[in-house]
Amino acid sequence: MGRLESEVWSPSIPRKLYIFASHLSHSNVMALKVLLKSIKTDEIAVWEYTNNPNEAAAILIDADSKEGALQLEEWVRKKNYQVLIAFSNRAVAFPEGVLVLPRPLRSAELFPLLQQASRRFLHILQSLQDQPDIAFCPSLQQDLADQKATKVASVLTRPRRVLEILHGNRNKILKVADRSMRTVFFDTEKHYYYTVDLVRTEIENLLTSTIENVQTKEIDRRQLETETQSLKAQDLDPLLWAVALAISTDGQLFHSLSFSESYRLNRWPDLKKLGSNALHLKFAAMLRQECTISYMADVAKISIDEAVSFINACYSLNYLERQETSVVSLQARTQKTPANADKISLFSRIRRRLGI
Amino acid sequence: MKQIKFIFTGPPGAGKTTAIAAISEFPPVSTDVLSTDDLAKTKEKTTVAMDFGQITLDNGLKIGLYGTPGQERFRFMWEILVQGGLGLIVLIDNRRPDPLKDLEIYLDNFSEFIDKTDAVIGITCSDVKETPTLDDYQDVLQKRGQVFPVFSVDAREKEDVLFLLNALLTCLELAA
Repeated sequence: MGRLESEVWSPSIPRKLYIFASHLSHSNVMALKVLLKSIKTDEIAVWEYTNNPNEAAAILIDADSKEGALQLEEWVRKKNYQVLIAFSNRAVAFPEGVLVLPRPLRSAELFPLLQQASRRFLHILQSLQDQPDIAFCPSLQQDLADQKATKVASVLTRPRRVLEILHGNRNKILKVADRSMRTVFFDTEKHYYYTVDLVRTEIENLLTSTIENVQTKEIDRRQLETETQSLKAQDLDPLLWAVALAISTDGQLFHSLSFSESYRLNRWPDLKKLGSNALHLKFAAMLRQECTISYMADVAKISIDEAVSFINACYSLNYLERQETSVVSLQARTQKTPANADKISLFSRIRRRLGI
Repeated sequence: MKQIKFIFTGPPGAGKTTAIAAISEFPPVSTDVLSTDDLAKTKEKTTVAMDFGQITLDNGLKIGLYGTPGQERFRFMWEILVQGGLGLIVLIDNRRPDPLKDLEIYLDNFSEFIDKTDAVIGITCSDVKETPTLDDYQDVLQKRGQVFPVFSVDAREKEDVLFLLNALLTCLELAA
């Protein structure tokens, strides 16, 4: 395969670029597709619609919807390479660098905006190519993009924590040592950890530190048995749960989680062991069906950060499944009939009587 | 039989009568007889019709706490007892030969009732016999495509029984 430099855009050849739509209504997506076909080719790029955000050069987000606005914030925070376009009529200042396409969707506004997006994307692309290690453009060269994606992700996003490394190595045994070579053994298959060197708070600190600060090595079960002969196995789940909640107070989702996805529990967290509160019970009950993070916060009437914490904690313990967000089913849940007041009243009386 | 009630079910010896006793405002009325079969080795008496306990709400409404007979040969009683039920508490005795199978049997037998209401699962005697673990029970549920609250409980402890009811009520409230 030739290097990306040989594929660099030349002003004389319009380049095919892709646009992805996020949180747009079905009718607006249809309208976008029609408009893209009808817009005449400009000298810089030809735009086509894609269902894959990773191959998109631009992302059009309905920023007037709550979930869309959250998604936009997340993408802005991640500083990815795509050009972000807010589809909005709100008189608010969007973050720097975000283009704005006013409603309704019309070719008169869309065409100049896409020209602007083309220039901006190719400028971003050029600056990435100037850094030899992160030459990357999925919409131009997908196979090269696949090779480089991991590298770019690590450059553009925050460093991963040891906790997240454990999640990515489930069913393995990891020996993790801090800078002072104090060691903890994490048996993620059997949900135990062993240490002689560190106390609980120090292990919590180890789990929240970034991977650059530790040495990690995978070992086999025989090695574990040899090295932990005289050590007591301790329950790993409450530790991971507590750490995940503690580090999620900034409202940031862990790596690979997203506000635009919906989630569902694959099993009920053992909240008796992990330490429960009423909110966690409520979140768990909600997550028996797929729901988004903003839906959880709305129903529980609390800040989105609380929902993020719970999602991160469930993710750490592999309780979570991603769901293809079905707009229809989510709308159905949101628009369900008003709560049965008689039942709600009965349940709260029972709670009062039992003191729960 | 159409009193508003919670239903406690599970195999013989799982702690249904004990759990009802832990929260009922009077000692449960039980229809126990001396066990005569293999069960007699582990349990002197067993319930043949039902256990009945009660809590009274601040508006005077009485909520029944009904325990089903554990043995499957009394299953004709189960359908009668669930009428008016708000939800199901399944108690599984971890010491039994195949508690995972027990769970499946009770979920299957009460599936129609669970579909209309909800269920929570308490595993008893896991301090006496550690396996199967809660994860094993969760695996069974996952294979069935079901997510129910599952906790290890001591049916003698009021707090544990209330914990189960709290989880059940939370699920019911969200579905209401």
